Amino acid sequence: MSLEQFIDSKPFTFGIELEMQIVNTHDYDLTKAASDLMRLVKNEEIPGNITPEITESMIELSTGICTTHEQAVTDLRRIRDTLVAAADRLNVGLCGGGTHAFQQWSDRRIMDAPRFQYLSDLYGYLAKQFTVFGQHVHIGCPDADSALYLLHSLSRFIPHFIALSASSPYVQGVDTGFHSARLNSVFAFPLSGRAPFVLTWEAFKDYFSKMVHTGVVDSMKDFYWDIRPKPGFGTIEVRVMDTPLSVERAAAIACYIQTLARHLLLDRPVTPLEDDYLVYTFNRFQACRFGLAGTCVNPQTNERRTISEDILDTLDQIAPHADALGSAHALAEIGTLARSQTNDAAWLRGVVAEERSLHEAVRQQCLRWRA
Amino acid sequence: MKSAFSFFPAWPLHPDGVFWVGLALLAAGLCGELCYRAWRLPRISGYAVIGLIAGAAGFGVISGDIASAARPLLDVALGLLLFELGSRLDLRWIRRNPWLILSSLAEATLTFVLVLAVLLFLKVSVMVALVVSSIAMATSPSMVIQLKTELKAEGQVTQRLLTLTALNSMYAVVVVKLASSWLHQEIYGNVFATILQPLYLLVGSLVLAYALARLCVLFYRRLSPQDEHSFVALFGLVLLAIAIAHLLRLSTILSLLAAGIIVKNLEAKPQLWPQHFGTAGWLLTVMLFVLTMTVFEWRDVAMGGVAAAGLIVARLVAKLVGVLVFAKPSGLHWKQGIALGLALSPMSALALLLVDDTYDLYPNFDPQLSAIVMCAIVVLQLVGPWLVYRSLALAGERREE
Repeated sequence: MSLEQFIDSKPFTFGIELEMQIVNTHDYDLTKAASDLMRLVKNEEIPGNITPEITESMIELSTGICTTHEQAVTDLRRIRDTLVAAADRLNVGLCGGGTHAFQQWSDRRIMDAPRFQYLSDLYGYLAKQFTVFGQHVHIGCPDADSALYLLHSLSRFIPHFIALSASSPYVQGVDTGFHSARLNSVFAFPLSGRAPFVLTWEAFKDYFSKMVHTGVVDSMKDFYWDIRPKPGFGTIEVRVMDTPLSVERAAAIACYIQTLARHLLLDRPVTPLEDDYLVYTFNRFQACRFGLAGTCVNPQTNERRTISEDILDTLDQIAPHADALGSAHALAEIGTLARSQTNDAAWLRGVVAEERSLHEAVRQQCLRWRA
Repeated sequence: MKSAFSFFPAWPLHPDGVFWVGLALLAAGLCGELCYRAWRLPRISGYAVIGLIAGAAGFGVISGDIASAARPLLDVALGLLLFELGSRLDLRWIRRNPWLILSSLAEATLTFVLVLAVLLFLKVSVMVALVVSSIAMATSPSMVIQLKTELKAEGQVTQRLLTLTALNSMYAVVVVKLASSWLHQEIYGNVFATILQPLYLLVGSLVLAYALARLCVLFYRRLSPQDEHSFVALFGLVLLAIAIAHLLRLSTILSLLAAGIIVKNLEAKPQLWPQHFGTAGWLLTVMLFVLTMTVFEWRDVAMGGVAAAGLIVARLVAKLVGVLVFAKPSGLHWKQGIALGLALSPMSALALLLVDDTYDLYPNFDPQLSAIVMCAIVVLQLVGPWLVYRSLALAGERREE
């Protein structure tokens, strides 16, 4: 199978996908209701899509093509309200969060569709352990080469996105000490990590056909990279974020990426280098483990500072682009978050400290999602 | 007669109750596993078979005396299960999805009407027919909870099965009590007593339920009953409530079920205790299934067999139709509706206790009541679990391998 053609899209348009948890309202463990929810919403008019996922405990919602922060917030709220109304009829709860706090992965059931059964056969328990919930953001690119430039220049900011969205401190009933433990599950997959360092679409096509030739992959879907091109949409897709606990947070992070992308593609402040990736996994680990308080090393200057300082500095640099895109509100939200260093993971730990119950924490996650 | 050798047991040996209970549990446990492992049949059906064999219809080793001595045990076992069931009834859900209450009313009312019609057609006396059709509304809470746990079932059909069962058990208790107040009038002819009797029973039980619920919530806030140690005290609290219901001649069934419902809805925070009240609760449940069957006698078939057959068919049809009418608007696929309708069929200890209660108040009540209900229980306790198994499989909600 050859690589899809890259369909140029309107630059800096964006789309958001959110994988949601479906829980019961008795003990707030994951439950199975994806098919029931799908049946109830199938005739609803929504500005986007709702799709089933690998397990019955997960459902994905996605916006259409957005241009402004305001539009993203409005659309996300409408889709959320539709889903929440359906969930209310079924007495199930919906919530964000990169992992479910106490579910046992052995209890999960794989959806009865051929692709999901294939993944389950291939990856074994990894497929079940992959019951994690992420936010994906697509950014429209004017052409294929720009997409690859954007992909590699955006890599340096991956720790920002992780730390801002982090909402998975608990896994199987244990405090992992991480802010985003979800990514540890993702890294277990053989084709996860970073995309190969190629800056032209011709070279990328070469790489892809060599990989197909080895028989290791079949399509772009088999790569679980942190950022990967989606030629069919004419976008690159940033995939490192945990699903935040509210749609507003999700929209703000998406617009931060959008504004950053405009800065990178129009100002071209850096020339991406293979050596940028020397500090990549270190920075990413810091973000997963320590969140906004983590350290990141600037690959060009080798300067060290906290991720929240780095975010605040970046916000200053990209401020002019916020006006052009109408994302000033979103960036203000990101600024507040970076300064206070209370991402969703920190909030969740606060709730658990207060209530001493993971069940109650999940219930409050559901309340935050519907509010 | 004392002799130097009286440390030897006297012949013939007279094993005590512990022996028979132990033997019954051993046999029930083995029979349940055999059913499950060899034929994939529900364990509960295995327990029921042992109950039949040990009881009046079989060898009679568990005689009527033991069974009535064990009545408090049944009350406790069922009380715990009702409390657990009640604490899964979410009134917020019913408020958000009013079709649920409609389908609950439809299935219960239809069951009452259809069973009543069939029984009257079969020439059963009006009074007996009324009480039996009230009892027929209830789905067995013990079986539903037990099967949900055994199958690790999770999903819409399971959730609604629990909800509808809690509701129809509630209706059944209330309607049986109201029906028997008419009986009160017939027998004692005192209008004041006739009005006061159900009032005392219903209001009294609800007050007790509220007090128990409040204490549970308070208790939960202070301690965390999910840990096995502080859970002991909660267990005690529930037992005390059952005892008080006995003392004041209130309905344990209504009190415990209502207490569970109030606990769940008084507090939005999840309040969890070990499923089945831990191992002790689980053992009591097995005894409940065994003991329920020991009451059955073969002469029940002669007296109530035909009526029971009519009841079973009418009840199955009514529950299925009642659920299906509102399946779609309430958010169910028709296949799930069928599964739910069939899964509502089990009948067990709750029915037996309601019959017992009636004879307790009116010892001279027509023995046909007991005969009909016992025949229905025997069939539905053996076949009901299998129907629930199949239904949950049909709906894709069984999780165990």
